[in-house]
Amino acid sequence: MPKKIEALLEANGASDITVGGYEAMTGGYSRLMAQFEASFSIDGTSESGTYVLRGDPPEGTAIIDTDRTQEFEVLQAVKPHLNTPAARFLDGDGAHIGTPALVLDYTTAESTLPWIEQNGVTSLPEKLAELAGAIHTIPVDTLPGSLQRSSSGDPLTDQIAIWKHTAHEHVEALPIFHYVASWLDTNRPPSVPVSLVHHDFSTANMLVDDQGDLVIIDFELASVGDPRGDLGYFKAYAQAAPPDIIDESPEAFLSRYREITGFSEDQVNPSVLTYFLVLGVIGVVSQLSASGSEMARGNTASTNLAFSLDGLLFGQAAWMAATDALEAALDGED
Amino acid sequence: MLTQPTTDKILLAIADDLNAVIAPAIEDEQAKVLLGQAEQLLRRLSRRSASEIAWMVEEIAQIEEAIGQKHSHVDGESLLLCDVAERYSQASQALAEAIDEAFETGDNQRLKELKQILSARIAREQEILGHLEMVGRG
Repeated sequence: MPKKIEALLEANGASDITVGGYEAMTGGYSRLMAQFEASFSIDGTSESGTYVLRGDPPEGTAIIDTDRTQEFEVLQAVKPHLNTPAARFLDGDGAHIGTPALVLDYTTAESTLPWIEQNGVTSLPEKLAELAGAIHTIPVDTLPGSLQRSSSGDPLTDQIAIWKHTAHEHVEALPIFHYVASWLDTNRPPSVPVSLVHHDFSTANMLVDDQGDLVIIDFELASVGDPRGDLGYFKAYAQAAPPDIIDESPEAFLSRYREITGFSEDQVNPSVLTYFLVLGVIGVVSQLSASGSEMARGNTASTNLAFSLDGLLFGQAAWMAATDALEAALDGED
Repeated sequence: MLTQPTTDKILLAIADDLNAVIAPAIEDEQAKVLLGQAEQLLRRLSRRSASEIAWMVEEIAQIEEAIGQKHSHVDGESLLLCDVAERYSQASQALAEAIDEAFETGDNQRLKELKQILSARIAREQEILGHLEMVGRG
């Protein structure tokens, strides 16, 4: 693999290249990840350090289907606004690496959950609001044109349609998906302007740097849509992998987030977060559902995929509980 | 055929051995993640294999009752897993259509009745799932 990486760097204009210390990494749930040491010259500057190679797994084994070229473009667009490792080189068609791949700067920041075990969670609700706010206020016109945008003009309508489409296309009938889709359609919150949405906004894709700031990684599912989808997804993921940083101090989180985004209390409040806890997971859920259907049809198979499908069982219980909680809250308002 | 120990017990024994014997001997991080996933899956498959055909047959009858459909069960029908799963999916589709209709007509009482079946389904899914540990995610 080091020779292949050298070829990729050379094709991108680097010279005097040495690559070594290649080692597979864990934590790349949907992609193959490895770190390596390299030194090279590019644009008249010499540099050396640790880098990360992030590539597609062998065809037919990916649990989600995404595009490395789009991910590279998104990372380059968001880097000026966010605390995220820079995307450096792209092998969009896999000509050098053998699979579509990109090279990122390595970060020494620590995984979030171990960091919380050591340092506690107290400082993180506001940090999380600042990270979410930073993502959701990146000017939309600076984002790559390849990013998926609302087809109906209303991201809520689009996402509810994806729920319905997923229920319809899955290999077996999913009445809970039907219920959730119709429930979401019936109980829509006030709209907000569209923005970049990460779509896998969770502690699994966050690190904490030596300043105690959150670092965000992995934009492979990003699109332009309703930003509150990220907040709901964060809460949904935190139910399976606690703690829920938002729940540590909901008002601190919400007020800081509203301050950064300019959204009103009607647009972002605990009930709206619960609504998006359900709506916001559909990006990942639809991908898992499609992959699960392919496995059922005998077109792919992997332990990782079968394991990931168990997340749907967890999700179904969480979504129904969320709709119950919101209905109780709405009944209380009447 | 030998039926004992039953499939669920064998799967559980394999999961226990993976955890107690194989896991401590593995040093490769990616292999550890895969092993952790396989162990959790085997425990779930153990719980599922013990009851899934009975659960599906019971729920098909409950759905047909709830949506006012004539019971489809006939003596001698196939109990092969793939055949029962197909009948279960058909019943689930009928339930899904009844739910869609109840939302469209705003029939909250009907929705409440149909939701009870969903709640019972979720309870069984949680029984299968047990504790979910997100092996392989940071």
